[in-house]
Amino acid sequence: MPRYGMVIDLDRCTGCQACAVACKVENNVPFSSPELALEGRTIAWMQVLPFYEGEFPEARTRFMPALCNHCEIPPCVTICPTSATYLSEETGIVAQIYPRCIGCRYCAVACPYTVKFFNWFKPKWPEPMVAGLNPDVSVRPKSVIEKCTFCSHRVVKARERADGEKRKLKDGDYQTACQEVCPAKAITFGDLDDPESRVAALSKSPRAFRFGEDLGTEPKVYYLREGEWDVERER
Amino acid sequence: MGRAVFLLIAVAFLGAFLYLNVLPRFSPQPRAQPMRFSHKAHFEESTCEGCHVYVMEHGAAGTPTLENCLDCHDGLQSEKAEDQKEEEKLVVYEEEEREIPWAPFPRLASHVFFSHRRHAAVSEIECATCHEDIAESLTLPGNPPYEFTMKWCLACHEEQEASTDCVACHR
Amino acid sequence: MSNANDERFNADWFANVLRRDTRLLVAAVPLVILVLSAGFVYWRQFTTGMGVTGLNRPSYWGLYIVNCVFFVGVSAGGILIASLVHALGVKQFRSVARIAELMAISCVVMAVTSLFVNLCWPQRMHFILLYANVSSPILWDMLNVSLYFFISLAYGYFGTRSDLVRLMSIKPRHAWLFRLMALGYTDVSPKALKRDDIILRVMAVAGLLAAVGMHSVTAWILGLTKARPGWFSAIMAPLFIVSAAVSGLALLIVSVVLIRRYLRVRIKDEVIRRLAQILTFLVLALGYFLFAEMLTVFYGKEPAVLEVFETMMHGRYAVFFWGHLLLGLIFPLLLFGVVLAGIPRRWVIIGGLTLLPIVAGIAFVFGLAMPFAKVVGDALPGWVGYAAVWIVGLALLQACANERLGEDTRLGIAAGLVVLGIFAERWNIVLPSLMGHSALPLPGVSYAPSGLELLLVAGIYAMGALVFIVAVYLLPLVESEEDEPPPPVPDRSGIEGPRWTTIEDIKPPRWPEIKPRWTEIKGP
Ligand code: SF4
Ligand code: SF4
Repeated sequence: MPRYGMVIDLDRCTGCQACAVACKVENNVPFSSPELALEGRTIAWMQVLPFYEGEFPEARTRFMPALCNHCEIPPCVTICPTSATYLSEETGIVAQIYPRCIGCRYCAVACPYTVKFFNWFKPKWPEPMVAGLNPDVSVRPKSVIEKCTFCSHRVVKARERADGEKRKLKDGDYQTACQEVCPAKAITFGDLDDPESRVAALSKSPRAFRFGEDLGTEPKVYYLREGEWDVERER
Repeated sequence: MGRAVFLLIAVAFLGAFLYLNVLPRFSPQPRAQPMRFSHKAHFEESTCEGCHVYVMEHGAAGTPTLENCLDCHDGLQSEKAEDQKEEEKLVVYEEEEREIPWAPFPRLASHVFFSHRRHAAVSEIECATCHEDIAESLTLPGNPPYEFTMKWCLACHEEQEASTDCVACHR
Repeated sequence: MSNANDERFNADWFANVLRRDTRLLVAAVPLVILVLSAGFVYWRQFTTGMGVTGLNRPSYWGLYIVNCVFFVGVSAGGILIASLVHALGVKQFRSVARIAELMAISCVVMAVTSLFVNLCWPQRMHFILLYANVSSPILWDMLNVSLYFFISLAYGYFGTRSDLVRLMSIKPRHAWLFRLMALGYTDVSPKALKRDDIILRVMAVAGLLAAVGMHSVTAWILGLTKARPGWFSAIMAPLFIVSAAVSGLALLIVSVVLIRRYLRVRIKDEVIRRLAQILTFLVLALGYFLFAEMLTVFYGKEPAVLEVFETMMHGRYAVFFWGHLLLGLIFPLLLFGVVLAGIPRRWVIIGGLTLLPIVAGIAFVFGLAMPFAKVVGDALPGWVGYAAVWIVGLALLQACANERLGEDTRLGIAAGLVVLGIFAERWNIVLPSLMGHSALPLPGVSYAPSGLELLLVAGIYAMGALVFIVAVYLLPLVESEEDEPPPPVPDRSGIEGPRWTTIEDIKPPRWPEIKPRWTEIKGP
């Protein structure tokens, strides 16, 4: 069984936010507004978080794309009373089943990374945008939790295509929207258990680290620390 | 005694009111179909794919467009008078340059991913496995002729050892 | 003053039952209006979404959960007192046992409602059982709370039914009502009473276990969440239990004092004094637990946990923390000291003024922000504010400790402060940990309940109060006792004597002969 994971190279990331936009468009995530942002009610499955370092002359901003880590031992799954969020055995994706969710928000509280988002209202789009919604992804009703799904609708399609061509799924068949658009190719996605895959190789890089490793959640999103490149291995 | 009778009558009235006026509003009304279409007659001449043209290629099987119909129906070909009356509607649609306003059933829930191609073309499942004897029907249904529940899907998936992962169908 | 309302304590056992009391009616009308408007607010919330509340990311939980935790605690504390009487046979508190039960029931109703309004999909509630996830504390909390609810209802029923049967013959016109409430039970023979006693004892133990279980599980909803520094600690459940006992007992004292003041019931001063003594010890125990928690945090200096406690102590909700410490712990303790142990009032003032520099010093050293900065502005340094609060508090304390208020009022005030303090404590447990303390550097968005949310919560309070009022109208508030010894001979030598001794002819409890009509109908 594949175990999909992601590697994000912080050295390559330029903080251009293309992934954040692509994610919103791909997954029918409603827009935010300055007012909503001030209220803390923005929904953004993929966010590029800025970290500020140093004082003025030596000031520096680092960027870190943050998304659901699809933990191997996900605290959000352990506590969900209805199993509306669960760890898919087949893909390793931590998925969210909207019609099952009772909106108790316990999972959002229990996620150490606070990457679960709640639909405070019924999502709205400007009229011309409605035609542009992605038909492969449902529009969430109000009062359910949502989060990054690793574009799980794409794995369904990729599997269908591969089965139609009577072959096995191979590295690169299934890509997430953020990975596709990243102009700096900072995001790599694939099967961590497949020794051939690029993502498995990168995740073993000495630069690799995960968010909150001491929490014991075993995230499947790896970050590559900024630093010297091991050019041979990582090209 | 008189009170009891009165109560009984009141309850009966209330019940009748609920049954006649309130209940129907909550139960689905049959939707009007544009014409009396016989699946049986068409199945004798053609296949499922003949009219539901995308069934092997796409998620949605598609309903026949006016153009699809006109490929075969060239003028009035039916023998019986009542069939001709239905066929004439096609001519009218053509003159008015309108599409046929089918009312397709059942509609897919928005949180479910379903692909006809995956089932019909890749896994080579007979249409009748799910759509039962629609090919035998003489008229178009006004209400959903069958209900596809999650349980029902899962029963088959389990039997065929297909994926029972939630995200394989939920989206 | 103290002798004026003597009659209250020697009222008829069943005096309050079905008494047309306009005050109750007047109190009920605004409560009903509140409940109705809360229903409307809930409808708004249900149709428009949770956005009508002040909740946000990362404060996904707010006032509703605080409320739920608080009332679960009060309810558990109520059952605790009631079971003291029935399980351990502490006869002394028999007169308040029923009030405690009523309080427990109405509070658990409020707790369940708070939890319910926090969920957004009532039509999917059954999923919790249908697709039960055994590792979810919410499942266990739901099971435990409902179990507790039914046990406390059954407990209340078994504890009341013999009195209900007695009422049937006292108020024959409304016998049908009492028969309905007793579910058709009519047996008050000594044997039946004895059996009732045993049932009650069993129910009391079961209720006690369910209460402890329920409150622990509620604590574990928070305490098992390792993602939230400040919640994830082993002390959570024990701390919750102690706070539960404290808040339950304190609210019980407040309600007993109020009920005694405004409705005529037989509750002696001594009972209140005893309850207050127990409360004093429990408050001390709570202080100890808090100290243990704080010590671990500040000794361990775990950055994330430390950050939570820093926000708690000088963040936006610092008022809650210091308010709890001062008004909920220290002042009530001082007040109890004055009233129960007879410490002269001026010592409190002298001691308080001596402590003033220490309070100001702590505020100065910790660099605490000005309390209520929104109202008073922050031109002055924080310690001035804290010193001012301290002095104002002392003055209030002095006023509250005034003997002329009467012992029960003073104890009631102290207990009321404790209740408020526990509410602040619950707020401090739930909210600071939520606000922006995750592994991600989130912009700190703080939480303030919206108007609609407050209205809904007020409606929930009103609902609890209504349950109480209905019970006051329908049920005898004090368990009747047949074997009460005659009161001691009045002793007029001291003014401080127990109040009830001044009445000379104490009406013996009226035990009418019980001859319900329907028992006479024998079979052929
Ligand atoms: S990152 Fe949060 S939401 Fe994602 S799997 Fe882990 S705990 Fe769940
Ligand atoms: S909000 Fe939904 S997904 Fe999250 S714990 Fe509650 S029911 Fe589960």
